Amino acid sequence: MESASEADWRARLAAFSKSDFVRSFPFWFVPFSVMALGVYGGIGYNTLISLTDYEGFNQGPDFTQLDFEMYVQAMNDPWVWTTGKNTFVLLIVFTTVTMLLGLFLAIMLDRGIRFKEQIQTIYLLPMALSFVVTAQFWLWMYNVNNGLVNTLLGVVGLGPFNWIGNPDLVLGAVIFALIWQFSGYAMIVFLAGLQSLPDDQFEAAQVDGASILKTYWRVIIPQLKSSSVSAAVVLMIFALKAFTFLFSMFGQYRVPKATDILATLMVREAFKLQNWAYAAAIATILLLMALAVIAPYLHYQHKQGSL
Amino acid sequence: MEALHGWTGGDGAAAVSKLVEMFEEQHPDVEHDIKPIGGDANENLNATVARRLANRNPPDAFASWPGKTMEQYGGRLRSIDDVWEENDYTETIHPKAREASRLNDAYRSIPLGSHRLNNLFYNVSVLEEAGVDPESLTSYDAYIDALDAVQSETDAIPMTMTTRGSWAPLQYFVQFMLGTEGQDAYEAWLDGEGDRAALVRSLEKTKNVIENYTNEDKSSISFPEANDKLIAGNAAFFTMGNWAYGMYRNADDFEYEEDWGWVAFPGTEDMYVWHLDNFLFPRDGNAPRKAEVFAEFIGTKDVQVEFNNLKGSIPLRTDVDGSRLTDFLNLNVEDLNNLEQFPPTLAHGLAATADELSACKDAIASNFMGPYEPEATADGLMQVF
Repeated sequence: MESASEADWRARLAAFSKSDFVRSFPFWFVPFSVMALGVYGGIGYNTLISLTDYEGFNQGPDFTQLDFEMYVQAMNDPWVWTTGKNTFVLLIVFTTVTMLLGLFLAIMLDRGIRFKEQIQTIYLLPMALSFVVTAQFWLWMYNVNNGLVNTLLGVVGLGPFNWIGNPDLVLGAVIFALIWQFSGYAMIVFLAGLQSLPDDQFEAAQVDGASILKTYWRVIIPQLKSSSVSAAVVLMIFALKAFTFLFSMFGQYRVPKATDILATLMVREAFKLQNWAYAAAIATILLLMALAVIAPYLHYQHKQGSL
Repeated sequence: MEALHGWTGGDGAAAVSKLVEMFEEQHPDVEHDIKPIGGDANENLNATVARRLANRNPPDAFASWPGKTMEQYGGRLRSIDDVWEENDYTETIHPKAREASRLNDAYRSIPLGSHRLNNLFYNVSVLEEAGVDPESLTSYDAYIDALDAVQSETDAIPMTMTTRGSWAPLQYFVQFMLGTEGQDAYEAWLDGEGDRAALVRSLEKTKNVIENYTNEDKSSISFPEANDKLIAGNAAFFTMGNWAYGMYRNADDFEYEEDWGWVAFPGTEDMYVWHLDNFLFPRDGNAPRKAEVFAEFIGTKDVQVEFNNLKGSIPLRTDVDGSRLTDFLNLNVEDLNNLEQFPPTLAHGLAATADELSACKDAIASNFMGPYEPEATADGLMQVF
């Protein structure tokens, strides 16, 4: 009786050790654990720091007294609200407009317009450039006296506008520059999605008498869901990385108030003032905000079965 | 021996490579890694230093501003009293610089050079065309008259400036405050006994100049780009720390007194607005002995002369032979040794701790970078100290 169950147990162990899980273990475990430590370990440690009172150079973080004091302080800090609002506007406007523009361009290209390859290259090229280059380049473009933007607007009798100096315009100017840089990326993602759809669907829609507009609206765009999820996620990550763009544009962590985002505030608190715990709390707020923005969309896509 | 500094651009880089060359010549046996961390106004340097101090992996020395800025590093710096005493630096370095180099009853840093803040640089030919005598610019009213004359008589911008970062309007405001309200009012504010009305008056004057007499593109250009306008003859006046002087020396056919000139910022003739670049010495470095050799080296006459001649700053040894310096620097050395009022710079960290400076910049960024609101800005600035 006992030897039978032992044999059974041995057989199971032998089967387990030959299973795909165990045999593939050395291959996926190392990269997985490095990734988990880097990403989730980082998030976890950051959250832990944000619960301490860690600041300055003289003492390390004290993990015996954890509380939400830093978050209370953040909620009462007007700069957190200002920068949070700017971050939110940047996330929403940049991601939405870039996706719409990318979709429009992809459909144009998919219709087989002339100079297709050239247009594709022209739109994609900005993405290959570093923020350091594009930020300086747009700073020149936006110069109130001799920038190209005002020169062009002057031709149609508008302006000149003080794009960088006017607090009402500067956030829009930064968002526009980011859209310019990333609409090509959205275009490529949507174009790949479009080209994977069989031509039959266009033909069937045509036979049914649907207009081109209606074909896209009813038949094609609904099938681009997985493309739009991946585009949205990547674009939001780029929006969070706007820190690099702003830093390159203004040469310092303190950017004009109207473009100040949570990421710049976080870096100032951490590396200029050594308020490590407070900066960690801001980082957590930023993470939650990004998740909150994208969560409803991911949930919807999940229900639709495209995730 | 690892020393970090932030001098990567133009003159700074040339001055540092001279310094490294001299160090290797004089101390061939000391291995060193003197390396730049680039970026505007020490921004990346300070971030790197903060990260390394927090991670208990300090460099042996790093460049920073002494005075109140140094306070944040408090417990992490070592004493280099021995270096100061053995080399008589306690006698030969300017008393003001000695005071600023100390923290918690010990010397924890050593000065390399000083930049003067209260400068008014001008383009000689633009002023001639406008009929302005620079020697007459001894008050705010006289200065406004001169700006008006430039505006009506020439096509040049009366005063070229940058407002890309909040440090610049802060510095302009301090210049106008020192020029019109005096050192006592300024220091009373820093001591927490400021007169709000004096701040409002100074901010009103700053606003008047910024809004009426400056280049439109000030918010998108850096200070070198602003200074280029003066060099090109498109602007009459420019105020900046005398690091701006390095650009004039590098410009072709742009000579002191022929093409450009200098007066103290109007109303500050009796002051030397004070800035220092120091090397600070962290404790628990890898090479404490070699760091002392480096500290001693920084204070030597030759280094102070050679480095500052290239950097455009002013040596802090009181016993240097003036003829070894350029004319313009020598003029500043005389002021440094003879003037009695040394208000410390705010925007460059001598007068305020890192937290206070950040709060001042918050106030400027909120209400004094367009639109300009003197009352609200004064409220913000009054709360800082």
